[in-house]
Parts: sequence; structure tokens; C-alpha cells
Amino acid sequence: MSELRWNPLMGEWVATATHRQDRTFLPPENFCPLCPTEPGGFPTEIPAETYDIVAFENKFPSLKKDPDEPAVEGTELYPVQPSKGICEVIVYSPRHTNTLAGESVEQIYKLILVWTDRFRELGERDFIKYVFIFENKGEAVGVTLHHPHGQIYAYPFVPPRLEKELEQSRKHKEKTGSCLLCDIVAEEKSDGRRIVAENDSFVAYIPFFARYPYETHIASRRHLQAFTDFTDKEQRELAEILKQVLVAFDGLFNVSFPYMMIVHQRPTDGASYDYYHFHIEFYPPMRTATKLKFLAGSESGAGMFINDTLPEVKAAELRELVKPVDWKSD
Amino acid sequence: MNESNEKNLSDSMTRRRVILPDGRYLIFYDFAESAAEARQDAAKKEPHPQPEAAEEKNV
Repeated sequence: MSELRWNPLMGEWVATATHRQDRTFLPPENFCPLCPTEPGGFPTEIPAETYDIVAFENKFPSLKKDPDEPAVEGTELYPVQPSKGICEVIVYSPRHTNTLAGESVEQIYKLILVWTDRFRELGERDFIKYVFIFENKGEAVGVTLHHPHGQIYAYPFVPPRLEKELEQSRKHKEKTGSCLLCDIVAEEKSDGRRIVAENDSFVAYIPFFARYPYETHIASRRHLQAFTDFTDKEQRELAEILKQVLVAFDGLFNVSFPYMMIVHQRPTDGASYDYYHFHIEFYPPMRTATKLKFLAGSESGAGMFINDTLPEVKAAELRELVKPVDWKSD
Repeated sequence: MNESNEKNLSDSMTRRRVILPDGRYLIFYDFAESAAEARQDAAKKEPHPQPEAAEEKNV
């Protein structure tokens, strides 16, 4: 059963999805649902002996295009809506034990083409207002399947964090006449201490206001709002800088680095968001080789993050680990 | 399983949508270079020797 329940304290929706409680949880490799289906073998989600990249509707979706009727009746204080939307799984490659960091730049470029196509197709659905592309990686962030994959949640509304970013961007534009993220990138470039990597089209940096020790943002140099605005050169250079950042992450403690990767783009509700600026945010929970940053009282209860480290110091660590890209090697 | 081949979305990418038995859709994204490599790998695994496939130009 699932529905959207309104939280009047925060002015936002919460989704219940009881069918997710028993979803597949860390299966052994020979029962991985995202691997190819071998002849005579365990039937996975993917009916093919091999594939390049696959996208499919999540078997345990938080939102559905034909949702169930809500399990409860709403009231005036507590409105309830069917949890209408679309949830997809994007499987990055058939290689079970690999990660996005381990894939070639070419494979990451292919993934960007797939993300672009998914953003376009899902965004054209009239009930979808925001196409949210993300990846949860590592048990430390709650991953239940190890096979390298990401997800897309196509929401029927603009979700709260994006609403806030959009509002901040709009107010900055009104006040100063310029784009907020363009100004952030310019300030980061001018300072230099928090830059991690850059190329002709993108800049990767730990922001001045980083909440996690290794929180990293990748912003386009050109003022654009979504994947569908990219040139071919920008698609390729995003693949390159993603590879560089991901490999640098893994090099920090010589472990496969857990993170949440979040793509922030314009909504798809048909309105104009020319004041907004495409970027990707990484939230890695590791703060040392053996310690995690938890969202405890101040973060979860008050919304104020405490960062135990200095972004300038952490960026220098990452910068040392950035290597030149090679398109064909893993 | 229902299939439909859709037109190229870029120079090297094609997508093939299938409907799974439970009604969910699944989309295979294929890239010309990967498809050529897969065909060459499949030809090498054939039990009886086959004439080698013509080398495909990288897109």
C-alpha cells in the first residue's frame, strides 16, 4: 500500500510504501536481480545474457504511474493523495562487482546519454513535475543491492530541497541580476582552495558551505538548466570529470567510497527556470577511514549541519588524487 | 514479452523497449560499438568456424 501524506508542520509530502519493507536485501551475487540472466540460470530482472545499460520500472516503487488507492482517508489538516509518479532503476553495466568509478569514461558517457533520454522522456509526461536522478552507493548509505546502479524518481511535484534551491536562485537573480550558481563557481575559482578538478565545461569543488567532509559539487561552466541543454562536448567532459572525482573518492582511504550522488536540474512542469543552474552534488558519509558522519540531532532535528572538517583541507586531499582521464581504460 | 525497436537517439545509441510479464517496461540502451563487439564475441564462441564478420567502423 502506498500514498502521499501531507506534513502540515513542514509543508511537504511524505510517501508511505509498505510494499518496500520486504524488498530484496543484499542478495548473494548468484541471485543478483540486476545481473544478466544466464541460460538456465536464475531469472533476474533483466531478460538478456548481456546488456550495455538498462532502465526499468522499479519492482518496489515508492511512486507508481497507476498508484493504489490510499490506505487511509485524508482530512482537511492531513490531506492524502495517491502516490503517483514513476520510479526507475538504471543499471550502469552488466559487471556485478564493478562501480561507476571502475567503469571506463566511455561507459560513463553512455550513462549520461541514457540520463538525458530518461530526463526528456519522463519530463514529457504531463503528471511529472520533477525528474530526480540519483545514486545511493554503499551499505553505509543504505544500499540494498550492490550491483552498480542508480535510480530515477519522477515526482508529481517539485520536491522540497529543489524548491528551496530554486527560490534561493530566483531571489539572488532578482537582487543581483546574475545567476547564483554562476556566482558561486566564480567565487570558488577566484579563491581556488576548494577546487578539486576542472575542464573546459565543468568545475568540481568542495563548496565553501560543505555539510559533509567530502561533499563535492560539479557545476557546468555554461549557464544551463538540464541534461537536454548539453552539447556533445559537455556530455563527454561531464563523463571525464565524473570519472576523475569518483576515482579520487576511492583513493582517499583505498576503499570503494560510499556516497549519494544527486543531480539537480530544472523542474519539468513547463514553467521557465532560466535563473537556475545544473549541478551534481555528492554526499559521502565517510569522514575518516573508520568513521562516518551521521545525521544526528542538529542535522535531522534542526536542519543545521555540523562539519568537523575544513572544506579547504579536504579539497586539497581530493585534488592530490585527481588523475588524467583515459577514455578506454577502466 | 512485447518488443519495439525505436529510432536512433544519437549517432551511436539505440533503445529497445520490452514489456515484462508483470506489465513493467524495461529499456535496453545499446551503443553501436558495444553491439559490434558483442557480435564479434558471439562469433568467436560459435562451435563451427564462421567467416569473420566485417570490421565495423567505430561511430
